[in-house]
Amino acid sequence: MYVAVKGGERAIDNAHRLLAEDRRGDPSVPDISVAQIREQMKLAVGRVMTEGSVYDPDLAALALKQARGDMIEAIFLVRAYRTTLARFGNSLPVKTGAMKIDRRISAAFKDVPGGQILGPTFDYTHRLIDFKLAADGELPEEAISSEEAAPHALHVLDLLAGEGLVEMPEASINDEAPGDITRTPVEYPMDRQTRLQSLARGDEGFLLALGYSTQRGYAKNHPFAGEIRVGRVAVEFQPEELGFPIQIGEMEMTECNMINQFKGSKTAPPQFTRGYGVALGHGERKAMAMALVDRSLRAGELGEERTAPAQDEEFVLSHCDNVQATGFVEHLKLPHYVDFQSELNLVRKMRKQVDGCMTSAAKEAAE
Amino acid sequence: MAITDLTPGFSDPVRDAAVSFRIILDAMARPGEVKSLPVVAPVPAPLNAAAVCVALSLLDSDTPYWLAPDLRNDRIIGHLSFHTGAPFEPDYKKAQFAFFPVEDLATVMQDLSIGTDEYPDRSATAVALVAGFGATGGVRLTGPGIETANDLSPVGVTPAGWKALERNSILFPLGVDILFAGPESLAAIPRSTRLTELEA
Amino acid sequence: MTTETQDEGLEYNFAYLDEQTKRMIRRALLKAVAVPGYQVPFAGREMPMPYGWGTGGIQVTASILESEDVLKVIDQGADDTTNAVSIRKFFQRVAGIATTEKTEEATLIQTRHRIPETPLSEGQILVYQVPIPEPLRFLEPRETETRKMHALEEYGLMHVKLYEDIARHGHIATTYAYPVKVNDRYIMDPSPTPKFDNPKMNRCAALQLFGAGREKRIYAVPPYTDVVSLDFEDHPFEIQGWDQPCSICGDSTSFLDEVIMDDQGTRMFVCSDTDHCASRQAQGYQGPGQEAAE
Repeated sequence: MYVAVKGGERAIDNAHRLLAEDRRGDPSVPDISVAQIREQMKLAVGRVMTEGSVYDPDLAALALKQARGDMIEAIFLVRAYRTTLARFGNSLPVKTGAMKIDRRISAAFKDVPGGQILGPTFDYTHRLIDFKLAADGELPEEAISSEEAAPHALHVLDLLAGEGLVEMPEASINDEAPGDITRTPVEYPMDRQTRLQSLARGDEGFLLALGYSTQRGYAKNHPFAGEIRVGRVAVEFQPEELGFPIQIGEMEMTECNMINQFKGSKTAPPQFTRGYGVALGHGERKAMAMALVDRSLRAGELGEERTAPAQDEEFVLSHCDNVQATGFVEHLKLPHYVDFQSELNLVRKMRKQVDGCMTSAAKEAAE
Repeated sequence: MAITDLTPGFSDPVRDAAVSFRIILDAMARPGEVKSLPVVAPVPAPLNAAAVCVALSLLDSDTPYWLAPDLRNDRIIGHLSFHTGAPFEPDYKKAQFAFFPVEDLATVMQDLSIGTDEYPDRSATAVALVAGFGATGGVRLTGPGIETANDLSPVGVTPAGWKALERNSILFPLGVDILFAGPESLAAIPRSTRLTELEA
Repeated sequence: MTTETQDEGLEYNFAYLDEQTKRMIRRALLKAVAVPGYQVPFAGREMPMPYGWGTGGIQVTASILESEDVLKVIDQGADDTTNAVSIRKFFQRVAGIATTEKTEEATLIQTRHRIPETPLSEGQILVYQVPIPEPLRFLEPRETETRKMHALEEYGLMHVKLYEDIARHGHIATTYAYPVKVNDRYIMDPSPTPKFDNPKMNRCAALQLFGAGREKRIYAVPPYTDVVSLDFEDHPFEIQGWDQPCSICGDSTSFLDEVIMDDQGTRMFVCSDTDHCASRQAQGYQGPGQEAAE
């Protein structure tokens, strides 16, 4: 006799216990602390903050611990927490030009005022596994501080502004609060500001692949890394009753300005155009990929023909969110047996018809 | 205005908003059925109990609302601002919610937002204040939410008001959705409802 | 020991969502009811469960729930599937409401993929979890285009698709998420319920609400509203049927799940609606599977 499986609740509780055990791993190995993750898995923490849309290194580190190192799960945890937070207001736009710079390079010029500052980068490391790290590490040698190298530097592209050869960012100095894709339904076509918000939250891997595709000829636009800068910016808030801004904190961020060729159009003279990318923490790959995709999505605005996936706003923006994407892909794990039963019935019915035709055809042939 | 002038809102804001909304939803889903209010919040005159319920359960800082001149005073605007954060909108064409005496139905309905072909939801909700609901006269309603027909007779609708509602239903899927707010109860005629006038 | 306690729910507002989010969803619901079958965009929130697990339905339920409600949650027609259990537990924790497995006792039913076999009544609301709310999406992936098609009531493409099915297979080859026309205006996706359930939507006494969390759309069918499954005069809409009754309760009118019993592929067929099956058993009905076992 058939008895339907019961006890879903017990199974779920048990799965949660197994999950907790698995997260902890071998109990003879010391537990990892949130501070260790925050300090030593910094780039992971940065990505969780960027795509989770909250600047909080401790929270992101905790999420990574809870998620057993799964990026998208950690991003999801941070986002779900974020929606429950009360909002007190909007900070003023951060001034990235006034950034305290840790790293700043321009590929477009040999040297720039303020200097090329390599800072902490993998760029010129030889990718050889460092087995010394496996032994319980000593503190690394202290880096030589680059004298009193100016901690501030103007944006490289601003230096070219005088000639009018590079477009200037849209003057967006107005008092209107910026849009918020987490509070208003998405609508296409989307203005660039809202689009940049979506891209900033977008999946690094997805944007990387799309950015790459533009370099390989799907929406050709040859880019130059005008400037990449990593450092700390002041976050300011202006309480209504106060009348002047106060600094409420500092955050680390990465910014990328790509320069692209532009032949000009009916309304704009030939000049270099820009793509813009940004990430919380140190996230160069994300910022660069985002800048490439931002530029390719400006096809319509710049009168370029839309031929490639990276130029298709609705395609890119409705698929770049990894929390949405993973949810819909992974929901295939949930039971679908009612739909499957419906399809099964249909395929059986169709097979019966086909088989029927084949037997009668065979009969005819035999006769 | 001093803080002491304020009239209190819902006594249990979370619960009262939930039960009020369910009544409004039920009314909108079953056009012409008169629903008794489940809670009564203090009413700053000249609003009435149902209008206050609607305001407290649906308005917030994202919903500009308009009050007819007869309903408008600093006390009411202060009351709604304090309890909901909703901005008063002096131009009723831009309001998401419009509160007015039912006698003004014909004039107000002319210019409220009816939404767009692609976004018919971007339309206003009209909250017409009535003294109550009568037993005879009024209109016979048919359409979604109605099993056969419902008769509704909000007190004070002028013949021009009924005409305005008939025009509104022809606009479907565009149009305004109307809540009739009484002192003890409310009823709705959404744009999807078709109307036939009854003899008084 | 379990790591969760009942008290945990108290840290959150009643039914989890904050009041402003509820108000935003409530306003969207009223517009959805006023324009039956039209998909109202809403600013869906990130919920503490993944997209695809019913976040749209959960947000709708959370926004309409009141403390006196009695909630039933089903997935595939069953109250005891893991995600139904999980969602029911979520609302017990964050809203402290009563729950039931009995269809007729519930004031609010959240469902994924089925409509209960027991006819719904006027005092009930049925909330559907919806993955892809746009019925035209597989014909035209662009929102900008499908929005225009709905605005202009330009549904030729859908009829062409269905007719191509007939030309190729001799019948319409859609078995679930079968498109319907609501109130003779909007074409609507009934969510991935089997077409077997489509007739239950037509002039249903209960209010039907649909929530798509990832796609951020809400839509509704008011009570007693015409919901017509698309078809052609020479190929009228028809629902699935089975050659045998439910093995357990003997019902020959309900939707049946096929269960594989052993490695030889022996099959049996049982009701997908577990409450329906259990009530029939309680009334003394028996299916062929039970008789054989005795």
